[in-house]
Amino acid sequence: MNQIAKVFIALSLLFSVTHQSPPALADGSEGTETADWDRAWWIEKTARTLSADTLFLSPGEVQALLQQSDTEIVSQLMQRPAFADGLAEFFLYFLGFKGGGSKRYENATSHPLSIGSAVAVYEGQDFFDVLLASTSPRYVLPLESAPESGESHLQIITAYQEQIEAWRNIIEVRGEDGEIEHFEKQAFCDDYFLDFEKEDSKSLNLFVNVLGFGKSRVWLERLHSHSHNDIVVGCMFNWDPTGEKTHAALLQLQSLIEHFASVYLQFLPSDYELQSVLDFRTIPNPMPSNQNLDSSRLPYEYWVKLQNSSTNRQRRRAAHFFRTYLCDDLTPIELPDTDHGIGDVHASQPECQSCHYKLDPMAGMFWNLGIAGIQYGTPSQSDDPNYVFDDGVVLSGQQWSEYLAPWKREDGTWKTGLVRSLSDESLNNYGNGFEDLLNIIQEAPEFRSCIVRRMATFYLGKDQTFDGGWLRELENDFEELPNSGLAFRSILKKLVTSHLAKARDPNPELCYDTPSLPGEIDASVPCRVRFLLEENCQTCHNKNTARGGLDVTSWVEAEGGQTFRYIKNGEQVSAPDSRHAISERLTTTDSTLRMPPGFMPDTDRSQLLNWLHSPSTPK
Amino acid sequence: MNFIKQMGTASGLTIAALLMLASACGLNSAGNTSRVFDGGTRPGQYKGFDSVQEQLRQRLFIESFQDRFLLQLVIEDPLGSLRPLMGLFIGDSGGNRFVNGEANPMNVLLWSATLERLAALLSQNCDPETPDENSYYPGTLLYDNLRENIRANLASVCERSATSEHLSDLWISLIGFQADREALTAYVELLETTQQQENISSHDLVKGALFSILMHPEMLLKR
Repeated sequence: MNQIAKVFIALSLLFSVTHQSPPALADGSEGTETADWDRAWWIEKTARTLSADTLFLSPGEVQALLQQSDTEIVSQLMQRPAFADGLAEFFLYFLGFKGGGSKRYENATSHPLSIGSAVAVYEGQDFFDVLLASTSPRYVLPLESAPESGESHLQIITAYQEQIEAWRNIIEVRGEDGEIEHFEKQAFCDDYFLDFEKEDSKSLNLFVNVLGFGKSRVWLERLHSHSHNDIVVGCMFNWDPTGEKTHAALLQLQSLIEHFASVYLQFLPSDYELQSVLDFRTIPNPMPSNQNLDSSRLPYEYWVKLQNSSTNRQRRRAAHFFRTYLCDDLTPIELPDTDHGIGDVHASQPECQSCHYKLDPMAGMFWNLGIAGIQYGTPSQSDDPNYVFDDGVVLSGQQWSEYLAPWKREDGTWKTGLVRSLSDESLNNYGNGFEDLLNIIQEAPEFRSCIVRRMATFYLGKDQTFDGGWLRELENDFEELPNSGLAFRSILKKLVTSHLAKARDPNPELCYDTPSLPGEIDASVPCRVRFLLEENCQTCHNKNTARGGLDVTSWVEAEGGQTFRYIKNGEQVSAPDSRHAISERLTTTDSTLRMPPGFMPDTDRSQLLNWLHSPSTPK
Repeated sequence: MNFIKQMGTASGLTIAALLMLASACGLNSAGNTSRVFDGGTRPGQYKGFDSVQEQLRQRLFIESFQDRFLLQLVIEDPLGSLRPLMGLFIGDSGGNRFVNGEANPMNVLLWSATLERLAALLSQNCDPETPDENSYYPGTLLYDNLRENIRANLASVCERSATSEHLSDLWISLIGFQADREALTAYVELLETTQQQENISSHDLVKGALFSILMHPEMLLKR
């Protein structure tokens, strides 16, 4: 073993024994030094937390911040561009996509809602409109690494800028009717073959690697917009610039050139270096005439996660929206066969209805969004659109009418929307179409709760127990502050200055922060138990729905002691019987009865059971 | 493949690395390490190659093109075949996911050998006029790119004149305030004593001083 290994092992062992007083961090007493060290630890941790591990403060920066209050420190860190990176990462997480590492920017550009929302929050603007948008500008990013050819980024960008200016001189279009005023055939055809064809791979590489477009999308755009065959034939043979086909091809080409210009001419020619998502640029729609290539629509990558087969009939999209935007994981009760369509026996059975009563009405909000999110018809115009599912099945005529029927009432009006209760219509929000759905979600209290809960897990720890009352108190900022971006920032400040955020090794099963006013059942039920109930039971067993008569959010006096509200045959079940019933559902091996329907770790299940049977549990 | 061959010489250090990783589990509260959470993540998993690379770049170096690929250059991994074994976000037909985040014999070995190599390269700054010609990342380049405070503190270790302030600054520059303060105390005391031993070369002293910081759990593992 060499010397250095000896030093290292000695060092490792030394760390495990008792240590003497540490060196001074700053002038002052020993007590102050320890407090400063802990505070310096929190400052560094907060910088990394807010930036998704991209901001590392220097010791000098930490020392400077030590003199300021907690909120001042957080405010200063929120001014750093790295904070926007952290926000983009959060919104990727919120939307159900993974970022991280060198994939962060690449993924963010594929899911532009994350960048748009991050920028809005960073600037203290409303982000609900951005996060819940059916369209989004496309963002582009600069090169992250030097190309293999050895050319600098600047050289490549500059060369394209010059080429674009040259192309602009080759073809000129006048007026709205697109009259071609000037066209240099020879120059164009030479350029086309020399630059478009021979440098195609280079150009493609630039699109994919520099601008962050998916490869398939690039090819699609290029092939469509070039009218490739027409141009090739036109250049090779006697091309009549006044011919209809040629005219259309040239217009397409001119549009493409302007699109290129809109991208490349944005790049500043000097000192351009990516610092954060704030540096991203947006590009306009390259092909406004072609709806399928409309860059303002949500990109293909967004809809990949929302594929809609002819058998699930939009339910997968609805489930994604419940899970993503409302934190409602609609895990169905395990059934031997769940592959039935709407109207079949499956959806009408009571245990299936626990999921379908809200899943199907929301699924209907996507009724006219077909393959890759392409829109067929409008909500008011729903006749025979030759609708295509992601699995390739096409509907038209009678089949189309039958497809729509389950989402319509007898009088022809739509019964689609966010359904919370089957018995109380006033709790539901009905609408029609994707835009309506986004508006409904934006107003839904569940959406605000979901954002706060995801913020807590993202910024403070996925495995941590949180007091539901504390999180609900944080939600109030959405009502009290002028816009959602400011509310987000305020909530985040509270999260990163919380007791939990300052605990060095927090126990994941303890709550570190509590609401200023305790809730209805707070004094009787431990925080961990309330957290497990919220995570696993509350979606169905709450004040509004109370599936099976059980409401785990209400704590009542009953025969034999206190217990959750549990109404059976119109009467509150006694405390011992209610606990017995809950225990039975938690432990049964019958998959159609076992609760919760989704996965629950055995340790969590045991904790609930232990509490139910604990002598200290109120009787 | 030089990298793989050299790993054989790191066996003693690997044991030490395992000791450090074992102690990392102890940093977390009881019960944490036995639980698997959403997405299979677990407290104490590796931060991953990109994250550690970025952390080191920001802590050690001034901005330059080479610095961005510091570890990649150090492990001589131009094809990127080793990085996925050390905790990495990868994207393919299976979607984007973090792979090899849990400590296993291979990634422990790779991290240990990589950081030992980085520490060895940095120890060449004791005599910057004789760079390692065979390295993709010669000592002179490291010397030029090192942050001023790192350079000054390393020089004092090279000269065996490092004070507790120098050593403390070196530690804090690299790992910040994330580690327990007691660990810093132990580090400073040990290095102060060790630099008095003339049978340990300056290179080994600097290499050990850096390697022990680089292998600290706070550098490699998520909280």
